[in-house]
Amino acid sequence: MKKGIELSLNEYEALLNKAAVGSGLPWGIAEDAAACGAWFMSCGLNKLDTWVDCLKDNTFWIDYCKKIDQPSSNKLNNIFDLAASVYVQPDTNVKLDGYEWNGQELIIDGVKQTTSFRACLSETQFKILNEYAHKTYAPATEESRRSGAGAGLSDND
Amino acid sequence: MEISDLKRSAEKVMRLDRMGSMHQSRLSFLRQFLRRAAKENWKFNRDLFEINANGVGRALYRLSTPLRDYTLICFSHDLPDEMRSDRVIASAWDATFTLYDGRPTLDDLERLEKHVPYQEEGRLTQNELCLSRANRSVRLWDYVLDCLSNGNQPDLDRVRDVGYLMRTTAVYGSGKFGSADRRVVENREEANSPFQLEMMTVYLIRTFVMDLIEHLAKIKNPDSAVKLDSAIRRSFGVGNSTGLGMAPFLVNHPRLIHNWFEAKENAIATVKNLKTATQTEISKFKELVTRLKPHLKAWQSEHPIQIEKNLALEEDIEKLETKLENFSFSIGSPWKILCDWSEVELSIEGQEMLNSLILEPYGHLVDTFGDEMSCDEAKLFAINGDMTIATAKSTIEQNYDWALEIDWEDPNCDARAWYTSEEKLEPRLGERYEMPELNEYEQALQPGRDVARAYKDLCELEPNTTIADFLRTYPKHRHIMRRCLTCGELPFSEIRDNTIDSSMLPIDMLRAKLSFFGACHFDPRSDRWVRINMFKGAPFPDELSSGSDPENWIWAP
Repeated sequence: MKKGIELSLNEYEALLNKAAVGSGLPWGIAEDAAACGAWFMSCGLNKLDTWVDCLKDNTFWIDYCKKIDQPSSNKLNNIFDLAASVYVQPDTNVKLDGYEWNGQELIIDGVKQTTSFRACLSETQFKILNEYAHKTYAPATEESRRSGAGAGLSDND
Repeated sequence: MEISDLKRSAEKVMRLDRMGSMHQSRLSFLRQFLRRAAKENWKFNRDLFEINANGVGRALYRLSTPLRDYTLICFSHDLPDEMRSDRVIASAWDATFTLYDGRPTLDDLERLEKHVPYQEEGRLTQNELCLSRANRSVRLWDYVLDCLSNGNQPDLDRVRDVGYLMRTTAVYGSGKFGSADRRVVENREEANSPFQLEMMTVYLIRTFVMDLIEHLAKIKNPDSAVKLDSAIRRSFGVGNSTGLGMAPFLVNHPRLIHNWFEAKENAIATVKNLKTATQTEISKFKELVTRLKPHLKAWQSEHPIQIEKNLALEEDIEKLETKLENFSFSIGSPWKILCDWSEVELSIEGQEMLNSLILEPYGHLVDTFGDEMSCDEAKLFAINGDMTIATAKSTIEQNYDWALEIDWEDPNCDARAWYTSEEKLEPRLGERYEMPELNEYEQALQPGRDVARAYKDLCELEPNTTIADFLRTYPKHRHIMRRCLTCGELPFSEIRDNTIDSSMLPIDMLRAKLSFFGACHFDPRSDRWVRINMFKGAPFPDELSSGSDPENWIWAP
């Protein structure tokens, strides 16, 4: 493994979800954005930096969700459109430029990509996602500590 | 009558007071685990046990299914008392564990020794399936150690009052902290039902703990130490301390939760639908009823809510015994008649206990419902954007009438906020009006309030507007609209109560989930913290391999 950090795919998707919420996306949109990012990773598409850039544009993800909710409106112009299409109709063959989804796996320029349940990130990418995600965590205060489960109880029993 | 006519509705079942009164059943995950282990004759082996006089070292416990091996890797530590905490924010434990997929090499052990003892701060790989830790029960550990090292057996009453020597404080699976993604194992039969590998982890931890205390007693006093009598050994389960993390889980996995509750309700309805019962089935049921009083006696709690519930349950058991003295099972549909009677005469605890009990004689009819409790959650529930908002509104009116009736302007109705602390990402529940800053960090865990807000906005638009257009105008409602539409198809997916009410008890949510695990002896320590026992009375792996009944230990005292 290259220097960096390796996560399970669902751990990665959960982190993307939190990062999307931290960036200001509403919960429901963040769920779809995270699923899109996880799909990229699962089929070996190195699109995390682009995905992060798209967080800066709320309307981008709102448009993306519309393509999921109404697949007939999806005109397949870019890789995100491909993700939306595969997401809604995973069994359908779709082609876009050098990419082909054969109903099971992604083929890039004629080469089948192995589906992976791992996510490998550079330390910088991991740091950026965590910075966004961190915005969803409440600061640690003594008052907050008291609102956690187990507060004020002794466990030496 | 059809089974569907006898099945309880989600409106009845998915209420917090009822969910907070549920008991383990044949479909509980640890029951499914033991059943499979016995049926497939899984082999057990202790591959390594290197623990010194201070209790520090490592051990390996392996279960072999017909197709593969799983190994519990145990790291045992010498924890100073002042560091012992069951909270998520703890940083050290008496013992730490990981479940390894296969048989680890020495290199694996060395790698994992640098991570597992640090739990959330460490990193696992795809070879590891679960991560867990446990703390000793101070009440019992030293006492049992002293007894055994001096050649005596511990007093059974004293053992019963606690029920375990160690309690786990987290059992993480499904890809957490770098471990294997759920999709890596979900197609294995032994891992397909929910939480099967977590159950395996806890089950092997139980064996390790018993071995550890006997080993330390022997080191302490090699000449006089004895092992635990097998009956006393069996009376130890594994404790567990559970906090708020389980509550968000129930809300965040609507389709999975639907499958759990629906499977159980289908099982109950199947038994209620039986016109007759055989003598063997009746005897089995009656024999289990005789276990209830001793079981309840061992169910210790200092929490006022549970004390009151257990007093009611004591009366319920009395009433059930009396009822059975003259009850004629030869009248038609005896189980339905008993359940109908319980709804009039027993507390909710008693009703739910009876619902679990009537399943016991009918493994051949109900156990297969266990196969329907998992769920492929990898894909989100698809929103049909062409649906009109008139249809969506009608789904909401049908399933969320309880939420539309709540006065959300009343500060008692939205008194709480669920949030995650930056402190080890501990899930917490705060008082919104005392800590207004929490609004910014609130998690999406209050479907009732959110659906009422979305419904208000739905009412502003023309009825033939599509959901896609509605969500484009109101993207903030996307999450809750997805939930509502899910619930329209999967009625048991939603808790039909206000999860942020000032009087809401998080322990009700914890208990519902824990009952599906197969836990018993629920002992709330506060409104958001519960201790339980798992596998108490169950055969140990070596007993299971030599033919012990995997089912007939339940409702143990």
